[in-house]
Amino acid sequence: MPTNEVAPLETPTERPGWKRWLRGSSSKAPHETVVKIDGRHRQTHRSGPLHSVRFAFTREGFHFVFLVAFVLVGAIIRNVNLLVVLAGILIGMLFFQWRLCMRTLSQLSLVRKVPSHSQARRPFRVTLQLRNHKKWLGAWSVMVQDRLMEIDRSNKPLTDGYRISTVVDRAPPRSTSVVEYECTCERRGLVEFGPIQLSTIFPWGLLRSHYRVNESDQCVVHPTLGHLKPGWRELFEVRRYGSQQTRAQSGSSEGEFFGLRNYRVGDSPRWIHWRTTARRNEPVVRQFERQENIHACILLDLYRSPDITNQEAMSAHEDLVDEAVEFVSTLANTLVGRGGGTISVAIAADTVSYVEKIQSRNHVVVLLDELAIVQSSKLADWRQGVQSLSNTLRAHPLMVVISTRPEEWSQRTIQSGDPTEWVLQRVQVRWIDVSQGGLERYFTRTMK
Amino acid sequence: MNTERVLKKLSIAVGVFAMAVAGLVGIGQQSLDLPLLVGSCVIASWIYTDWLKWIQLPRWLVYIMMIMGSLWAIMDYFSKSSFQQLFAVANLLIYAQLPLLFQKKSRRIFEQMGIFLLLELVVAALVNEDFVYGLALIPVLALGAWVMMLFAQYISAERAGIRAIDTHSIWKKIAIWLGLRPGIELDRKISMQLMEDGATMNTGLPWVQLGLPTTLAIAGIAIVYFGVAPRLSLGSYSTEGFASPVVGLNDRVRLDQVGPISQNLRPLLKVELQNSRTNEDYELIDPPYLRGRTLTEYAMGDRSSEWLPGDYSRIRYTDLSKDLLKLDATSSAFASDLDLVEARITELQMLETPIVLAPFFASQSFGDSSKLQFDRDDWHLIDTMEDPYGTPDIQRRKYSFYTLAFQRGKQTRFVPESEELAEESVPRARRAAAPYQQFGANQLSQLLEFRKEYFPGLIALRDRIIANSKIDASDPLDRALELENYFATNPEFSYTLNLTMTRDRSLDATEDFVVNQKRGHCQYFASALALMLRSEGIPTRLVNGLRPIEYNELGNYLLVRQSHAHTWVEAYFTKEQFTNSRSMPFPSNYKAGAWVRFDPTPAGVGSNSRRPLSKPPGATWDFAQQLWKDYVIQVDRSDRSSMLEGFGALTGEGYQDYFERFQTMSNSGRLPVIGWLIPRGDGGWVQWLRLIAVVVIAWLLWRNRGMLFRLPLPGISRRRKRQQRQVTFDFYKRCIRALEKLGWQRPDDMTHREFANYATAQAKERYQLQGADFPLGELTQAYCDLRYGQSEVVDPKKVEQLEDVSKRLEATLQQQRPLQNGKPE
Repeated sequence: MPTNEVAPLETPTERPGWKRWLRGSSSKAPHETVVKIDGRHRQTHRSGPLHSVRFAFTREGFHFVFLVAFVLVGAIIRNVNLLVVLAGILIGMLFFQWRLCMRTLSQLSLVRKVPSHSQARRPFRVTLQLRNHKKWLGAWSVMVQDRLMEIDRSNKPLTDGYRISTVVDRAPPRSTSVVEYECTCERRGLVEFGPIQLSTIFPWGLLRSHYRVNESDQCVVHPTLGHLKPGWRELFEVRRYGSQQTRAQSGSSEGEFFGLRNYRVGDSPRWIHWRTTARRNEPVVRQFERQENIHACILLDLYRSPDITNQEAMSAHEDLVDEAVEFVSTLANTLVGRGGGTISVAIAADTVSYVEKIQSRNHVVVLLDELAIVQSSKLADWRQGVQSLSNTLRAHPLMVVISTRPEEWSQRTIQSGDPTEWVLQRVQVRWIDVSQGGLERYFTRTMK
Repeated sequence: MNTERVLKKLSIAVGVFAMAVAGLVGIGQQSLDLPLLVGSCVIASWIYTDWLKWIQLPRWLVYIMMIMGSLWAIMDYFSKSSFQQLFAVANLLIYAQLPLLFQKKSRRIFEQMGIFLLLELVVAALVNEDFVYGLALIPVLALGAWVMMLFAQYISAERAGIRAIDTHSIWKKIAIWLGLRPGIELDRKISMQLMEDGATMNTGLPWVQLGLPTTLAIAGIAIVYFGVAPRLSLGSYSTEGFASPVVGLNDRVRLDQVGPISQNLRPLLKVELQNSRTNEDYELIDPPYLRGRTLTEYAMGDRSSEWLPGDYSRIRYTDLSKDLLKLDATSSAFASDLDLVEARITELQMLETPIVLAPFFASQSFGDSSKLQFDRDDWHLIDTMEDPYGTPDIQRRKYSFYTLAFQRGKQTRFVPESEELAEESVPRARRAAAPYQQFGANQLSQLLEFRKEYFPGLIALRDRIIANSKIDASDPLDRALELENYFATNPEFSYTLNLTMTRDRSLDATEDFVVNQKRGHCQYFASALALMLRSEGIPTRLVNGLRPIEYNELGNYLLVRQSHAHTWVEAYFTKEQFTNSRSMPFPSNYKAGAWVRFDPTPAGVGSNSRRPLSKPPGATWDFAQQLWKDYVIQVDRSDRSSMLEGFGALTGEGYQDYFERFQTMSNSGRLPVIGWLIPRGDGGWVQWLRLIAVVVIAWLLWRNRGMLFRLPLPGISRRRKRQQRQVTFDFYKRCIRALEKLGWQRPDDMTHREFANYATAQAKERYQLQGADFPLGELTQAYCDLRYGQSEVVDPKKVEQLEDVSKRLEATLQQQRPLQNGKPE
């Protein structure tokens, strides 16, 4: 989460000639400023002159105005001086309601801190920092209303969204108040935050002034990470024949440090732990866990059958897709997290995307970003996925296909002369049909 | 924010406010019934509805109760007088409001209660005119403001939370409302939870920061509005009195009262006297006699002993606005020895009869008294502005006039006839030749009416008094003075308001008083003296009026109460009778004759006769009360503040006098600018254009005050310094934006300087930009110096230079092609 402090920036807007005169030069600040840092969004919005803050009567305000009009007319027609006084007081209240609720929202800046990515079913915290730049006047009862919406990769909303409102009771002049809320997304996807609306009905609830900040932030909700069962390694054990049995030695490392033990004959002198040997006065050597580098090549085939039409079936299908996605995410995380392993993933959905030779956490994030938003499709073409992995498969001729359809069905799609056939002839393919519970042997999902 | 906690506070606050508003109504009603009723219901609702939650009435039952309460109040409404109907309205509002207290509190309940309470405030303003209301209004409204603030806080707290966004169409909503579709539910694919911290906790309301200044400012707005609010007519709305006066003014004097007479201390008038020659407050030595109606006809006998106004057929009304005696004439021989005093009279209570009190006058001075006329025979005033439906004019009057009734702080005993002042009157020589000629035959017979057979005891007493005196029996004036003195000082007669004696119904009331009772109030004494003087053949009449004895030093006015009502006698003496008298010289300024005032009432508890002018305690409170009435309750079109005349000129006919006053001033050259601006009555559209132009220019100047303040004024140096800082940050921001357009964005873990180095290297590598062509390092250094405080103020020349550099950089970068992938590697 970005935490850099950014000073409020102010740019007097240049207005042409007579318009500038009409609008006046006493405007203090620009409407808003956007600062983008490292691809992750952080907005600094500062409401400027009063004309950018709008107001409307509340329901109570309408009642009040009606009564004021009644008192006003009655006072004038009947010459009732005490009613005139009362009307004056009520008008004064109305006037100050307008001024105060407009001034309350002026010179406020808002900083929203949203993590660039999160994980499904795990809470993440969104922080809204409301800074009051005014010198004298505080801000009270400022309602900060944030909007959340699930969107797809083309920024189209998937749901109506949610509105979360909280009230900052008090923001003293030249101070910052912080509001936080925790979000937990049940599913992977892309969540958009914003626009934010600042509003207040302070002090008497007769008018509501509001200021809308149209900028938005996005948070990628990665798939939930599950647990790999002990047998998961079998998936990537290559059946070697002939010259293929030659294993490449990893020269750079003996493996992961495991512990110390006494020296035995035959141990390499390089393994002696000299400090402990000196302390014990007998040779002690380091023990290493043998490093087993796995090079996984995964094709995630997210096919949705046209037969799935009703809501129930769609829901069940999406659950299968999620399981497949979560497995790939967990696998990538495990392989890269342990070190030494690599994974290449091709995803066949609407389009085919792929990430090759993922070795670092940063690359895992890229993969998870993609897995977060991928959806099953009728157009999923697994053959193109195979094509995209062909380079990787040259070095590691084992491909695990995680699919929502059975292997037999895929066989039917390959025709003679298809370039995919040529690739498949050279590699071992392990087809896991998720719809048939193919992942149960290797993977356990993390439920809530 | 803890919604429940705010709700509890709000429930308590609304209850307290309801009690306070009911208290305001109670002040006007002079009753504790409503405040006690509301108070007990509020406390019960706090305990049983809000705290224990035993009673939470369903909505339908509450509505039934509200309807029943309203019907009860409406029935009460039709059985009351027009003014008391306001109390029925107040009752209606309160009866309708009380059931709401016993409902489970929600926003709807508070809204409904708020409307009822505001309406109650309106009714309270209609039934109150006491200063206490003015004092109580401020804390009550402060309380109301607090309640509204809590309510706003409650609404905000209620709205806080998570909701699904409703994007359904209106048809879908109707379907949901009809139950044809499931409602809008929060989809649980995303769950959220607010984390409460210091900012969102209920930290209290900003009373200290906002309460006092806002209250003062609202009061200021209310005062200004009060000053500029248009008044459509003269006179202001006033409430009715509640205590029926017993001792007080009346059109007649009935001598048949029995039992104790209570005193009504309700203020009736305020009288201010000013010496018109010195323009200082006129200092009185003795309480004045304020004239009301004169009573000439005595219905005598055992059944009805009553003094009546007499024959109306000969009443000669004259418009008071017409000068009887020009002010110039007050320096004439008639007024040479008298003080010219301006009397300002303000009615504090609506008078049931249209009589307006006055001593005799020389010339009306100001005030809208066109509806007032005076009777030239006895100087009594009559208000001719009665409405055609016969209901009394509920508006109180204010008027003033000049009087020559005072001489060195004392009121003279002589009352002139109007002909003494009028130039067009009956020739004085003829009047002198024929005494009593000014009276008509009918009027004179009334003034002299006396039947001996009814008053043997009275005649015997008169003769005994005269016989026992050492005066010249042939001098009627001396005899009259002796008779007055006898009643006022002889211990045989005493003053009392406790008329518990048994009356002899076979006798006339005055005869019974003189012969048997010998105790009574001023009307008995005046009646006895008047009849004695008539028995002597002297034209005599009774005067019903007031004799105020309370003088408020703080406000320099006489406070006249109902209890100051008094009756005295006026007898007419010709010039010859005066001339022959040794005890009272004839006033040199009178020509034909004069009425002389006699006050035979002795001193006593409750008597207004022979009492000195007093300065009672509580003058400050009374003065405040009068101020409240003068400047709030009774303000009308004639009292508009000259301070706000400018507003008046724009409102047309309603402020015509302002316009004229301004016009006069502008013509005299005292306010030439305003005179240039104010539109003239003769269709001066040019002036209107001028006025509009001035307003527009003023508005533009206000809007552009920032530009104007760039002038080298010391008071704005701080602001200018801030502007410099803003400009300095601005150049860096523009530069960063330009880089962003080329795809270079500063990562989190990179400082500004590192980013500058990176970008400089990239620019050199990709665009062959270096040195002065890409001065990002220089810009960044300047930004960091400012941003992190190494320099407070940037040299303006340096800023300009940096601006140029940034513009060049911007221009240079804009010519370049953006990168495909802008993240620094």
